[in-house]
Amino acid sequence: MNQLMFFSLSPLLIVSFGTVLSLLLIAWRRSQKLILVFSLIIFSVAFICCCSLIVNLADPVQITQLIKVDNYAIFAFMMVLVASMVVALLSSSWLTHSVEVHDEFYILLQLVVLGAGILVASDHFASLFLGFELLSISLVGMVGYSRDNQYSVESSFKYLILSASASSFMLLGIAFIYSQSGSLSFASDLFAMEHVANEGSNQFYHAGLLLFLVGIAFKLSLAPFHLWTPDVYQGAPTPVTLLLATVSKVAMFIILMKFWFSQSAFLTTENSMTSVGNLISTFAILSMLIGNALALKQQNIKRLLAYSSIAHMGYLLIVLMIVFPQGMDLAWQSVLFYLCAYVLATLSLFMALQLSQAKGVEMDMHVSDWQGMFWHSRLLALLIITAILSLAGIPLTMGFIGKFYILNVAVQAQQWWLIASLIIGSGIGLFYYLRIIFVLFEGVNEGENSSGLSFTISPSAKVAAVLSIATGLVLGVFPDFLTKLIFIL
Amino acid sequence: MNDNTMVTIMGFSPLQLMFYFAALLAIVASLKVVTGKNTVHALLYLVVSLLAVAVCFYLMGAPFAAGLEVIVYAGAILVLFVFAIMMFGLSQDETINAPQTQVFTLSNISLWFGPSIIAMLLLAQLVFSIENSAIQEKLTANIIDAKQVGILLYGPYLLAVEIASFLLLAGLIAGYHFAKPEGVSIDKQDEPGRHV
Repeated sequence: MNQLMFFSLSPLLIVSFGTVLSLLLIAWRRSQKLILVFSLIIFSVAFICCCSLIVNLADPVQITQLIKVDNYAIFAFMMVLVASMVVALLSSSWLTHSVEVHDEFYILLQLVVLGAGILVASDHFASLFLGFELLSISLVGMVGYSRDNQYSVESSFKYLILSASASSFMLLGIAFIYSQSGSLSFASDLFAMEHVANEGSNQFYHAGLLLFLVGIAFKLSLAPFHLWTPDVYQGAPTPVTLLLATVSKVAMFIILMKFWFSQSAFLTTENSMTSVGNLISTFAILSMLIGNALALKQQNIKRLLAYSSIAHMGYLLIVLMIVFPQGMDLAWQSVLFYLCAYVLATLSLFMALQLSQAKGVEMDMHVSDWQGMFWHSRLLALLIITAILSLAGIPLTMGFIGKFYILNVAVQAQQWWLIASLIIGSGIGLFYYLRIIFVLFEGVNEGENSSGLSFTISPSAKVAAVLSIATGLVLGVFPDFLTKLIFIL
Repeated sequence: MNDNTMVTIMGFSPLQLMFYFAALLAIVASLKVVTGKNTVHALLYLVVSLLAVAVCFYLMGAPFAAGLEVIVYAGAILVLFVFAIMMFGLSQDETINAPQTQVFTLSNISLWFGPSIIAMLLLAQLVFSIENSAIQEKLTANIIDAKQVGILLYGPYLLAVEIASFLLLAGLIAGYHFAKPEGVSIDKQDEPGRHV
């Protein structure tokens, strides 16, 4: 390992070293404030490191066979870090309700971040699988964290069993792909692949690809494998749901992109693109339609967001239909922009959800609980409104630009069915998104006003809310800031 | 030795036949683990299943992995399982599904008969493949031994070892959190979220 390798691996090294140091910190003094501050310091130092890397790193750096740090990975890791900082802050208000000291929660959070970081930077099936497992195992611990919650055991077991079966599917797929390519590395597959393509015996390769995609689709909760999503979202504590919705999704999608584009040389040289492409389109169309349709009559906010996340992952899948090398930059750019918009909107919504939850009670929030919020807490309502509009893809928000990118990609790839279902899905989506906004403006019944709806927002939360509203609007109106940043990657 | 003279049965070489037979035994034993009612009996099948997987590894030319499978899984982890079952106190579950009579009957035998017959088959297989010179020749052609594995683990896969250690840490912490006793009483006199 030379200096450049250490430099480019530094965000991951900081997080992993920080995890070890936090273990020592716990041995020295168990204090929730201390560990919270320490986790925030770790994340922000790693974030600063990422910032300097993104400016200075010109070419991708390969570190052993396992990890390849490029600018896309660093950008994705920055998103992960921001999301987990918000999670840490939100959970600090939630965790004080019970009497224990919750050091494990922060350690698990750091391990989730580490897993996501390894996942986005991996260039090898071994590191992919290890990162995947690290992410899943620590998330299982967090999903069932509050043990007094009635859903806690159910949701964590559902997540544990399903993610274990997903990873076994994925392992079998990796084994099949290995049997054809003879290498576990993404990059060196290309040479072997051409050899395989010439032989024409690639049923095993296709079966492997299918199984691998099934494993990923479980984690991304794409349509035929989405059944766990609403239950786990509902059962998990709100900050953990936020983690599931942002960090896990971002990391899985980035690694799917990396894998897919490394295989694309093979996929274009041969007409196998049609069969695998059809599979991806089926996943995408099903996710868009099913996700949006199931969200329609949903009253529980977390379940609604779960269904809407299924639809959003379906929209994103369209990008995979680009397999020619010229389009890859555009594809990466649109994915990163869309993920940014999605993460920001989800962060704002969950922030609002956590802040409006009555103190000390871990209860299910329904859409009707937000009734008339605009009249008694303007800031929170504005936060929700900008986030919802961004998710729905209304102009002047980031979500619109993101959707525009996706549409652009779809037109270039000439996928008319996907475009049609994207438009239909967004149309259905408008109904339930706008319903939330209408509820916010509805008048409050006099009797209900006094009960439950009075909550105070701390100054730091206010600052965070204002920041996310401002970022969403500024980047929605001037998307150039972000695209320029992604372009220099 | 050229391969053409080797005996093939239904187009499979003896080595392949051995491998598929061991794999079949592993599947049968694993199915019995899942369908069994009594945990201790299920564990017996689990041991056999792991041994069958070890034979599979051996027949693929990886004796080191086979040894690890036997030592780590069939040896250490199974002992942990037995301890766990004893400590969970599944006494009710055990007595319901345990053999009811102390008399030497056929149903009594069948409990240990299944696992032991599979284990015997595996042993016979192993002896056969050690005795058979053609199979031995194929197996010893490229052995992946401990040294090679070690070099790989501390060379190109160094980071994987480190990541795996964090994976174990995650499992440990999550497991500890789920298993620790409900509501520690010392904390309750204190202000929320702080230890003295």
